[in-house]
Amino acid sequence: MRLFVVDEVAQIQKSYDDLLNDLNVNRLEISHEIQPSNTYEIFLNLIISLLYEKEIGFASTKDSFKEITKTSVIDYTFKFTDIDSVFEKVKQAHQWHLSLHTSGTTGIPKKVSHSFHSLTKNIKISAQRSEDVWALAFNPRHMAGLQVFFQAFLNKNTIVNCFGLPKESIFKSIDKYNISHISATPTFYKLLLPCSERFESVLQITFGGEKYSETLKKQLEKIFPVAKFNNIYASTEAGSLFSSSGKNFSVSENMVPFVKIINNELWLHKQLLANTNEFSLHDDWYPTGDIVSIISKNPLTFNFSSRKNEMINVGGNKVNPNEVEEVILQMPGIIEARVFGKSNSLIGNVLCAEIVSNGISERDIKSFVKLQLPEYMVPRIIKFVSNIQQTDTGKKSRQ
Amino acid sequence: MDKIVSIINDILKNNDKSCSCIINENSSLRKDIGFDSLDLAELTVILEDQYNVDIFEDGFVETVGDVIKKISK
Repeated sequence: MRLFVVDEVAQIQKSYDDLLNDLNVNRLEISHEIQPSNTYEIFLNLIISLLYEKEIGFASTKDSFKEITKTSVIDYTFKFTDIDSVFEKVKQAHQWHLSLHTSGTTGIPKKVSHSFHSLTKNIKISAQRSEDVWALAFNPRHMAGLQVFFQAFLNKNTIVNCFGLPKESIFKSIDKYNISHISATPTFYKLLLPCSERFESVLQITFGGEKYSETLKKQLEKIFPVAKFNNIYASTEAGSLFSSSGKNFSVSENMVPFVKIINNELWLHKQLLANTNEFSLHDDWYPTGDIVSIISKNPLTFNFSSRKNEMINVGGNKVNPNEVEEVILQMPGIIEARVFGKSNSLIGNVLCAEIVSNGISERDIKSFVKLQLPEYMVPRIIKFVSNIQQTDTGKKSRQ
Repeated sequence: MDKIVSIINDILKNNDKSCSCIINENSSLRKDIGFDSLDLAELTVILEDQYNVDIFEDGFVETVGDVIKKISK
């Protein structure tokens, strides 16, 4: 029977039959704080919470999965004859809510509460997708990972956990399970490079969570020669919102009334958002903190420039770390760069960079950047490292 | 003293600058050595790393001698 979840770290392979058996157990004890030890258990608990419409939440710390309702022991009385009946029941979970925390890449994580509908509004279920095999390259406790889960589960696809795995294991998994769909951050894909192999089973590569890079896409096209590429704008607050085949997002007509750009910041109407008390709305509008560049007004088309909080204040000048990284990455021999600010009593912040490279000197980097950018955008403290710091959600750390 | 001079020279070299003066205790960081605010900030980070002292914490530092005093505390 079709595999449901593969988790090579936990050394488990669970089929949809296994899932059915686990859902048909008579009586399950659930403690207030579940400590799932592998990807399968996370999804199993999620599915159970949906079937019995028990509110559930992921805490903001890495490992625990808190239950919001107080009951500890439930008589699970539903018997499912097949997986399709499980899907039917899941789709009726109108009372169900899931609490998530935002990734907090540039601030304190905020709590939001999603319904089944708001979490799955852009999930596509069709017969054509029945043979898809998904790599899970995101943390399953956050929005992007959950989008992959729902997309895969509701089409009865196999999910292969790749989050946090070294690239050799990921390549092995792609071959072994014939992975056809990968959705991940640009940082995840960069860590697959360099690679001289080709993987023809991969049909779709999705970018999300960080700024899109055309250069990266071209490098990936060599490794995944038959894949189509797309770029998603999604957030924990709003779920999945816009999709593009490149870096520019166009707002569809039905969404136009709910999207506005003020001073280059993207604002969303509360209609598009999950429930929360934790972010302040200004007359029903929410500032996303995403700084965008407008390409055209009709249709409204924009691309992502930086997170507002990412901007580093260096002696009164605002520095976009993405911009500095893009310049550094033009140098041959530079594999990866992470630019960030370090608090400084003299000028506010000193610009720092962590570099993964093949023998480039600090002086070369500074000279090169100086040719293209103003003085205050040249990183002053450069450290050479073997890998780049990431956040819990697989994005480059900005701290 | 030598250590500080070496750090200062590294900062100058790494940023394609040079100083035609002889660096001694009375050398002014800004006027003689030619440091701008970005150079000074870089200096503070390096010194904080190595000596655990923020040389600008309580007031300005003018000369190399001032720097040495701060890190010797």
